[in-house]
Amino acid sequence: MKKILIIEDEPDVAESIKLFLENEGYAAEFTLDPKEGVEKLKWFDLLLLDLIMPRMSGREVLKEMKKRKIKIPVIVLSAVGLPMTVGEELRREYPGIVFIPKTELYNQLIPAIKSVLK
Amino acid sequence: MKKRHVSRIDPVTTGKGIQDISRILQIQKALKESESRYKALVETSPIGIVVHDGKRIRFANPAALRMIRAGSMKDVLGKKVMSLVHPSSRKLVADRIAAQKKGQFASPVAETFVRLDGTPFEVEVSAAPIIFEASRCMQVVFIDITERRKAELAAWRGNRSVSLMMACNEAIVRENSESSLLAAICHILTGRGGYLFAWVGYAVDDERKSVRPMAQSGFNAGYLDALRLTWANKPLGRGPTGTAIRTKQLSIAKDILTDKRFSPWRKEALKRGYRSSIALPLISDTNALGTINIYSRIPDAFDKQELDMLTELARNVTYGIMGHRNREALRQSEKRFRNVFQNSSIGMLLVRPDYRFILANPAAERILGYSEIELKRLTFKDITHPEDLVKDIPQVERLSRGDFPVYRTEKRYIRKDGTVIWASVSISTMRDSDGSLMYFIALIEDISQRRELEDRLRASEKNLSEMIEFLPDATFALDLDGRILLWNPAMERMTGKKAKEMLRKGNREYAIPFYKKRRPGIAELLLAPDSRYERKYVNFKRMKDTITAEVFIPDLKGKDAYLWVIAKPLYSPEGRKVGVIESIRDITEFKANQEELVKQKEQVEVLSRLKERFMADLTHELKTPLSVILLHLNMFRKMDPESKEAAHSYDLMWRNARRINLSIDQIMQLTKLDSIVAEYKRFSITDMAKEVCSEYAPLAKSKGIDLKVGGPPIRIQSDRHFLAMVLNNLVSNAIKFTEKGAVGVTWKSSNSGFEIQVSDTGIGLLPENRSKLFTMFFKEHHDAPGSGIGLALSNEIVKRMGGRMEYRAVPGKGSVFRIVIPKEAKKT
Repeated sequence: MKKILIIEDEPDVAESIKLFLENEGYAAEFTLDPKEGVEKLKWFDLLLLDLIMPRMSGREVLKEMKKRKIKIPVIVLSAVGLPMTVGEELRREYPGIVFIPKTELYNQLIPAIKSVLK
Repeated sequence: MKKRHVSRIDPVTTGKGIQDISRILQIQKALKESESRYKALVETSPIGIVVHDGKRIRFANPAALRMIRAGSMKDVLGKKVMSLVHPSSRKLVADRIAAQKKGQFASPVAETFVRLDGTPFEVEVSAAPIIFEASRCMQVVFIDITERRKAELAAWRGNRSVSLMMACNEAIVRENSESSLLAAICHILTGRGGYLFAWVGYAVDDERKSVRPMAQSGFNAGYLDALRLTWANKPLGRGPTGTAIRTKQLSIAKDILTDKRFSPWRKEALKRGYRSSIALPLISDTNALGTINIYSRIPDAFDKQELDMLTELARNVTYGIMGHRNREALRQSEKRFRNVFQNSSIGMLLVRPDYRFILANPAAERILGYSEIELKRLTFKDITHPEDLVKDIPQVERLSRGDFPVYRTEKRYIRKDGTVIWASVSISTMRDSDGSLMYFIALIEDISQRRELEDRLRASEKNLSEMIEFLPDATFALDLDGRILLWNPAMERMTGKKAKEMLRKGNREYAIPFYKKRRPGIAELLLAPDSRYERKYVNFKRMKDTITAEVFIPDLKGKDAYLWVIAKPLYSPEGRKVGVIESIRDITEFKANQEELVKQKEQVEVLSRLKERFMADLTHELKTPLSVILLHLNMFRKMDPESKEAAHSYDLMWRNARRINLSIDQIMQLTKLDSIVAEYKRFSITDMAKEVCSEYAPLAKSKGIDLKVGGPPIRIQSDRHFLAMVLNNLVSNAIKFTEKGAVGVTWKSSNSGFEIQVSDTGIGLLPENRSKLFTMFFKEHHDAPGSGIGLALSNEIVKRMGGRMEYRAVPGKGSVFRIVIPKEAKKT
């Protein structure tokens, strides 16, 4: 069974995604602290990463993973105003990365996970 | 005897015939005797006898032949009479011949005859008609009087000298021009002086150094025309005339016949009977004006006594000439002076030492309005303005004592019509040979118009200085020596130094109020650039003749000041640079405002950048709770509505929906802040605080944060809604930025009112960001959560409630936000 880690500072969002994934039959865990999340990554198959967080942003998490050569798939989530722009920016830096606007999670998250974990 | 004679003559005739014949014989005999006597007389006489028929010579006795140096009768017979007469006597001879033809007797006269060798000789001649060889002829009897003449002359000369001198002196006095004097002198010399010919020549300073005949008298027959005289040292200049001019000495030709110097003119001179000549130089100072030239028919005609007399005469004539010339020069200069005097536009007055006018020219009459005749009855005191008279009199007295040569002044005269005019006056003095004052000479010029212009100028200058006095900008002026000319009241206010203690002071006194030392300021740098000082200014600009600069003065009347300075040269009305004017403006406040403006401008720029970000962040704020709702709605369909999970989902959706609502409210509040009116009501702070915190209890609990609320029961008069909004924001932030520990909300009453405090154990703010804390859209980190509106909005609300919001960081422990508001809010 594939294990998914959620790094998300908003408790309601983090908990809701965890519930949503469990509903769909995935094993999911979340952490509100990105630093803690980076440490835990090695036990997971997929990372759902929020971009905008205090103290350590999603981008810093990605950088840290690159530095540590942690190569698990990442799906980036964000509630930014212009998701297309942000997604393009990210893909330019991290080719193949999947970006889903938070308001589209309810219908895009599962197909995305399926395609990433295939 | 008588009877016998008759009988002898008469025989051929009848009766009485013999008697008649003897008578004829007697007559014939007598005649023969007479003839021979006459002949003997003629032949032997020492007197020259010549018979001519009016034209040609018919007879000449041996004495005559001797005198004319003829060898025999043949040499002269048939010769023209006039060939023996010297040209100087020909007219006389011709006249006498004509008279004798009419039967008049020719009394003895002196004439000049010419020998066959051409030399003239003096003769005394008488003539009578005669029948000679049956034709009417003229018998001329003459004796050589050359010797007698000489003796006569010597005797005559003594008397003549005196009369000649007298005549000449009389002419010198009498004749009223130089040319008539010269003519008279020549006339006297040939008339009373008896000289054959006299002329006066002037030395001309031309290229040829020619001698120009000025006057002549006596016999010359065009002699002067042929002379071509010069006073140059050349053959034609070495005769008596040229020599006398050159040497300035008397020059004599004793005998023209033998004098070598005379050779160029000898022929012509002898032709005219001149045997000796002298040239008397006319010497004025050191110049030879020319010569008086005198010719005599006698060789060596001038003895010592005569030469002395003639030299003296020449000297007198020179005086006469110079007198005429000087008089002429004087006349010319008088004429010129008169011309200037009459036509000058400058008034000229001659004033006696007793100040009475004695002469006034038309310009003076015009300026003063009095005629010359009227002025002669006045003194300068009568027409001088009383105010100027006080000043004039001592000066004129000093002038008359000789303290100075000229007194110049500008003064007022009262004209005849009573009007007052301004005049520029120069008074000088005329003194006689012993230095005593004869006259004052006053030159006056009407300067009323100029004066009026100057008055107007002065008035405008006065206006200008009055304007400067009341200029709001501190203004002062320096003269070229650096002395303070002007120090206006604004300057007094700026520096605390009064004009009366500053004016006329030099030595950089003006700099002390500003720089506390005597260093050059902008005004001086305008006149003498000095980069060492120019560097000390900000925006130092030199444009043409103007400098502008800014300078910070740390202590101007005890305060720091930022000054803007402009300096420009001061010019006199004639355009001469006379000083510098400097104006100083205190721009301290302006500068502060300017800094504020720059800050504001920066803020606006930041604001617009932040605004852009705000929209993105706002979206984030709205989308985040929305994403939660969407996720749960999606799950909710498949859930058992009665299940625990469904209830949980429902709670989450509910809370996030409220969160969206709150964000929208905040935005509305933000945009409508200005139009929202606070509603003041009395309420319990405990109730309000607990209500706000209860909303955050679940979040705090989920993060493991201890949220504590508590304080004394206080009721305040304020806007409950606003205060709740602020508290909500502070608590929300505190929980958001705190990972573990506690968030506490407490309140208390204080002297100034009411304090409510929210403390946390969170990350706190970086010190450099603390001042920006309440700035709209400020976020410490790009990815930090929240819109950046909350604190700014809260701060604004608190200010509107008459309170303030403070932030305090406790190092290592967290942050404290404190709201201080009046307990009883003022109605605004």
